Amino acid sequence: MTVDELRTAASRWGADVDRWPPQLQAAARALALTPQGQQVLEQERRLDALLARRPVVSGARAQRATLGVLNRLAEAEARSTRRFALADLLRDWLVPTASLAGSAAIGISLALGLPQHAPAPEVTAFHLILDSTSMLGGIEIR
Amino acid sequence: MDRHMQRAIALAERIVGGNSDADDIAQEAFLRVWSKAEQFDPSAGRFTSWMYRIVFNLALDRRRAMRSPLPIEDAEHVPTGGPGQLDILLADEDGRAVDRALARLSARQRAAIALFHMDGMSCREAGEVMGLSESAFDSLLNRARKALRQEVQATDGRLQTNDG
Repeated sequence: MTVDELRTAASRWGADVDRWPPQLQAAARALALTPQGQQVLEQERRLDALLARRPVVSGARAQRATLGVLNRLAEAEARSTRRFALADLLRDWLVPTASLAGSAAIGISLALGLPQHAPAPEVTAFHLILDSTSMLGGIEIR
Repeated sequence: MDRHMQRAIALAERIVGGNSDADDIAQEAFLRVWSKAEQFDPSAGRFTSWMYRIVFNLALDRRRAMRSPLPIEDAEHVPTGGPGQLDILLADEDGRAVDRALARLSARQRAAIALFHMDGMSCREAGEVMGLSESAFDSLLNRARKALRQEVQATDGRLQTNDG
């Protein structure tokens, strides 16, 4: 490996040779022992350190965010519970009541809505005969 | 949970910039983790990678919705959370120059740099988070570092870097 190849690899993967492709590591470590190699890696190490900085997230800030998550989960749970309570109400009370009321409404509407037909005269006469026969059921006619 | 929350917020903040957006994204990511927990397949990858993937996708969506470049002033004063020794060794001007350069990269390039350098993920792990193959992530990281180097040199020639 030449110094230029070392520089190219360092600019690509940074100064930590352990993070380079395995096939390059041995040659890079050997070159890193030379003054030129050390200089190349030192320059890249400074950039790596700047890139590795992590924005400060205080413990309090993280806890606030965590609390926000827990609150939102609790709200979602409460909404879900309310939905289940409504479903229970529908199942246990409203649905049977509505069914009964619906049946009654259909019955009433049928009774009121269907046309009433007056029986024909011959049918009426026939009914009269039947009725009188049943009334005289116990009387012997001679 | 707080430790994961801190990491999620930090990644989101690196991608979108802005504290409140980052907090919202991290909270939404955790809600999704909770509601989709049954979808997590331990044999397919680490929990952290899965969670980061959710954070990354949400942050990318938020960034696209913003349709404006990351405000430079927001990026200029990203405080360092690393060991104090870094603050001593590195000049503030170098940090600001890198922050300005990062702000000019694409959201995907910033994410690649954050995952690889800030979180120390391998190319394979970071590729999993971003939905890329290892080689595709490697190429993205290479382009990101090149672009960053060019931005640094264009805006501030003081920070010495190796030319890639």
